[in-house]
Order: sequence, then C-alpha cells, then structure tokens
Amino acid sequence: MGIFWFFFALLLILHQDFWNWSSQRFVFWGMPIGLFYHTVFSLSCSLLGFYAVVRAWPEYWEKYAEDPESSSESGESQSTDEDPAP
Amino acid sequence: MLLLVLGWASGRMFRGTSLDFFVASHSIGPFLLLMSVFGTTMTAFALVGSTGKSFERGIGTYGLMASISGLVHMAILFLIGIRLWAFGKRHGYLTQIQFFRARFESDGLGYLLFPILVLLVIPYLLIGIIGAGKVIEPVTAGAFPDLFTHPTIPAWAGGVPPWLTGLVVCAVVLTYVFLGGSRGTAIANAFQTLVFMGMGIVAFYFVAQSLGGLEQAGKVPMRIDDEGCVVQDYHYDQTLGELVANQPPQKIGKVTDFINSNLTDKRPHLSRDAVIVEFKKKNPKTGELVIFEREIGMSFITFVTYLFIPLSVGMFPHLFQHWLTARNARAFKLTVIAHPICIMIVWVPCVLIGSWASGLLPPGIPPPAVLSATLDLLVGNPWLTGLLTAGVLAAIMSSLDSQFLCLGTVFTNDIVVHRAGENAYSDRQKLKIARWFIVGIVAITYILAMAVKNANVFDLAIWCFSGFAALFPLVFSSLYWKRVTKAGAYASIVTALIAWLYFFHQSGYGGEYFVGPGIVPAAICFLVSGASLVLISLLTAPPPPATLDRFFPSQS
Repeated sequence: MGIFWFFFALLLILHQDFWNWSSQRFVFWGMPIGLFYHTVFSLSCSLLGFYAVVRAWPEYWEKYAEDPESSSESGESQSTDEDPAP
Repeated sequence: MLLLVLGWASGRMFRGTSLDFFVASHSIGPFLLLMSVFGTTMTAFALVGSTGKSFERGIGTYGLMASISGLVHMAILFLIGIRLWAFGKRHGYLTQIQFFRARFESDGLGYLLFPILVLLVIPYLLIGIIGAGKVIEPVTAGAFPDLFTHPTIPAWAGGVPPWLTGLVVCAVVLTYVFLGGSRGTAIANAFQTLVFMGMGIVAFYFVAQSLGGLEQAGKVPMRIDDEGCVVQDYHYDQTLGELVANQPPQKIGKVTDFINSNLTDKRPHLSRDAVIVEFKKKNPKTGELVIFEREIGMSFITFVTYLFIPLSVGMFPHLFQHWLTARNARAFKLTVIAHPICIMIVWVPCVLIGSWASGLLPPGIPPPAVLSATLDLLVGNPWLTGLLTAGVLAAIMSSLDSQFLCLGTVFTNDIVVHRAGENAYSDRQKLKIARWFIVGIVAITYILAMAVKNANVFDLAIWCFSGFAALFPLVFSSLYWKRVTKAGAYASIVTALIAWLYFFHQSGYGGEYFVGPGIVPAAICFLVSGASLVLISLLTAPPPPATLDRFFPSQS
C-alpha cells in the first residue's frame, strides 16, 4: 500500500501543472498542451488503479464479507441511544 | 422506448424481494458495476455542464474536474468502496445510514443525516431535469411552430419546451425504476452509458469534421486582438456546410482585466490564464442589450482547491447502493482500472467542443445550451442530431434513476422500517412504500426543476458535490480512524451543514461562488468539518472495544 500512496501523492502534485498554465502550444492532432497533459494524467490514474488491483488488492475484505460467522449480525441492532421502535 | 422495454425486461427478472429491489441481491458483475457506477456519476453535469463550462472557462475545465476526478474516484472506489461493500454484505446494510448508525452506535445520527442527504441529492436531481430541458429545446427549435409558441429565447420558437421534456424524462425513469428496482437500474445504466459514450465520440467526430479537422478547429475559439477586443475569426455557413472566415473578425467583447499581459492574438480558451472579458447580450424578453462580465480561465488557487469536490463520491448515497449490488469484491477491479479512462472518453470531446464553440456561438447563450446549439449549427442532420441528443438524455437518465431509487431505499429502510421495527412490514409492503416514496420524490423534483429551470447546471452540481465533499471526513474516519467518536461525527455533520448553508446563501442559492482569492467553498467546508470531527473526537471518550472489534477486525 505504501507504493500506492506514494504514486497517489505524486499524481496529486503532478496534477497542478502550472508549467502548462499559459501555454497554447498544440501537440498531437491539434490538442492544446494543457488538455493533452491532463489526458495523459487520466491514463496514469488508470495505471495506478491497475497497480492497486494487481499488487495491493485487499483480499482480506473479500473473505471478511463472505465469512458466515457473523452474517446474521445487523447494523440496526447495534444502535443504542434511542428506542428504535415507538 | 428502448429504456421502457429494458424496464419491462428487468421487471421480468425481478425476484420480488426487497433485497432484490434495493441491491439486486448482491448479484451484479464487473461490467454492469462499471457501467452503473460510471453512468451514475456522469450526468447532465458531465456532458451538458462540461461543454458549457468549457465554453465559459476553456480547456482548464478538464483538469479542474475530470482528470482530478479520475484520480480521486479511483482511490475512493479502492480505499472506501470495497470496505463499505464488505461491511454492507456481511452485516446486511442496505444504506449508508444503516452503516453509520451501527458504526457510531447512534439512531439519532441517522435522523440527522437523512434530511441532509435528501437536501443534497435534490440539486443533483434538478440538474438532470433542467439539463434535459436545455438540450431538447434548441435542437427541436422550429419543429412544432404552432404547438409551442412561448420559447425560452425567440430563436428556439417551436422547440419542445423544458416542462414537456422534464415530464417525459421523469415518466420514463420512474417506469423502469418502479418495475426493475436496482437490477433494472443497473441494466438501464449499462445501456445508457454505452449509448452516451458512443454518441459522444460520434458527436465529436462530426463536429471536428465540420470545422475542418482537429488542427483547424484549434483556430476557431475566440481570440484577443491587438486592441484588447475579443473577436470571432470564423462563422459556420450552414448552406455551404463549411467554416468561413469573418472579414474583418467580428468583435464580440473587450478584455477588462487580466493577469498575463501578453494577450495579443491569444485564444484564452486554450490556456488557463484568467482573463475578464466584458460581453453584451440581448435580453430575450425586452430585446435590450445587457452588459455582462465573464472570467475565462481560472486562478491557480481555484484549480488546486477544486480537488476537494470529487471527494463527494465517497458520500454519495446512491453510489453506496450501487457498490452494495456487487457480486463480490473482485467485481470492483474493472471499475477501479477503467473509471478514469471512461471519464476521459466522455470529457475530452465535450471540453474541446465547448472551447471551439466560444468562437462560433454568441457569448450570451446559456451555458447548458451550448452543446445542443453547437450540434444544431455544425451537424445539422436531424437524424444524427437526434441520436446525439439521445446520448445526452441517456447520460442524464442514468443518474436520475439511481438517485430516485436511493431516496426510496433510504426513506423505507432508515425512517419507516427503522421506526416501526424490522418485522412490522412484510417484504411486499416495504417494496410498496419505497415505490410510492419514489413517485412522490419524482413529482417534487419535477416541480422544483420547473421553478429553477434557468439555473446553471454546472454550478448547481458543484454545490451538490460541495455538500457531499464536506461530509467526506465522516466516511473516511469511520473506516480508518479508531478514535473517531459519536460526538465527533455529530460535530462534523453539523459543522459541514452550517458551513455549506452559509456559502450557499452567500452564492445567491446556487451561483458560482469563490472565497477570497478563488478558493472553492467545498475546501473550506471539508476542512472545518474535518477539524471539528478530530477535535471533538479527541475531547470525548473513545468508542467501546466491542465496536472497534466489529469495524476494525484483526487482519491476521
């Protein structure tokens, strides 16, 4: 998870692309650079998602959800500060 | 018609239980989950709003909302969605409020959250109905000259009025939600999402072709000349079917304030430098010329603080419900990976179309009408325009259905059944309550949408997202911070509400509003809500060990 958080923070910083702020340069097929950069940024987010799924997948929560031991527990029964029914 | 058929078909698949109606019996696989989650987050805001905002502020709109949403939504799905799904599946929660009631051991918290969630979802519903009306009227202009004689602006005479579009959209959505519940919504969402993604690409292709290709289209946005006037270099000749240069360029406004001094020959929509431009527009009723100012581009602080807005996804009650429909945690994998790409596919074309349109359409056109007016001007072919408009309506309906269903689910489970007791109503009675509550909410939303039909779709959506973003500390801390307490949760919700109401009032109830040098209110609402949650939690006794054991199980 450490690597996920590292790249998440890196992408957050890279999102603030002040270096393209005033540029009106066109790149591939007439895309303004400011828009092209963020298009690549979107693809990078997807790559980070791929990393999360392949290398940091929380197997534990899948097992937790399917565990039959507590499947009869109900959130309703845990509320305590008021009578639930009139 | 296809949606009604899908509604009927999903009604046939309906298992007749409240679990199936509310969360499709936890049976939705990866593809349907991606389509329904993505379709739900993309509404009139994504297609109509993004094009309109790009028409106003330029290509920075994409970084402002779309690319940051790709990062934040992906992380929320991965870090929050899967855990909430696991708790929901194991403990039988159908709604967010059930989870929070259990996590903070408080019934009162549910009663406090319910009206707030409804209050925040309603603007989201309104933008769908308003957006639909704004799209249909311009593209049908002139089609029924004898039938519809009171258009929003004279140029749209004979177009289908917003009240009728809203009525049809509400009726169609209501029908398939009523029949198919959560499963019907997921299937309809998948169809709608495919339609609006496909039609978006088709629309972009035809618009770009009409402008002479991407490179030529890049020369179309409005330009600032050497006298500081804002000019349109081209107009589109519908008879010739091509772009024609204006000789001389048509002056449409004047720069009044700017940050970057070297503006000559710049096209402000292609960068993010803030430039204030003064335009004139004709009052549609009196014919009088009215001067108005618009900021093109944005300040850096606005761009940075906008990152708080996509946090709203973590608190959307309708998304919580979609997450719970997942068959297993693995169903989330495709959504985590593909969500940012799907956002890109929808937003990049819309943002480009909006910035190009700034050089062709009159600056005073209502921003929500930019997409349809551009299609009408550049594509022209009624069949193609009709199909593209169907794509926009699909995007709008794919969000409306989930929100209507969610409000019915929350009301039935968190208010009615919770007060009366789990066994007070039969499964059939619960379904009936949910369905009739949905009918009521649709009716109220329709009336409200007609009352505020000229609201800016993008700005209204931002207010809705700001409120949910302010509640984000609640959901994040409930999953990741053992020390958060019931009192801290109450403090966070109340502070978020007060801050949001204050700024909403300051904005004139739904307009664009920034604090100080351009800070979005969502950032301040989030920070005060988070600070009060931490402070009050630390000042009060920690939760009992039994609660912590339940929500922070040992992962060994």
